[in-house]
Amino acid sequence: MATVASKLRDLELPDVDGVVTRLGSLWETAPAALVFLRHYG
Amino acid sequence: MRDHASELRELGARIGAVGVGGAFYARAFREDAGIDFPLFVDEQLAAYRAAGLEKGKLWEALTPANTVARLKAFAAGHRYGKPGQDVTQLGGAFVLAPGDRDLFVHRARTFGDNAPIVDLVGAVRAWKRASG
Repeated sequence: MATVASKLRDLELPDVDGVVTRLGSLWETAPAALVFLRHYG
Repeated sequence: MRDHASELRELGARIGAVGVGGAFYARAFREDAGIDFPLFVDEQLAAYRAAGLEKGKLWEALTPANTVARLKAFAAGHRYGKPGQDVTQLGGAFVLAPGDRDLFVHRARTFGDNAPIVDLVGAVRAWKRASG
């Protein structure tokens, strides 16, 4: 069964400054806490 | 999350947040909240779908349990900001590790269903102990 990490790994998203990051790069060498917000605030 | 960011960093973890709204709202939120970790913008909800996060039902926001949760949050000083493009999109929290491992998975089942941050910190601590 595919993990959430494997499903998100190759997705690329911009940050608020427009810098695009491949999500998997966040947990390549150490754990990463990734929180999905329902709203800003 | 913001209050526990330093604790997670001391354990060697990275932190990121993903939001559904546009960059304008996300930038304002980052400045208002004073967060110093990356805040990603997912206007197409691609990451939300990949993470298996569901849509809520608007009537659920009016249940007694959710109303109490909102009142408690308000009393604690939290204020709701811009909901973004999709007000029904639910959130979630994950701790992901090298080797594409899932150390912690929480998908919100309804509005206000937030993972305790201590659980995320605990997942990182357990990984660190197991990794030596």
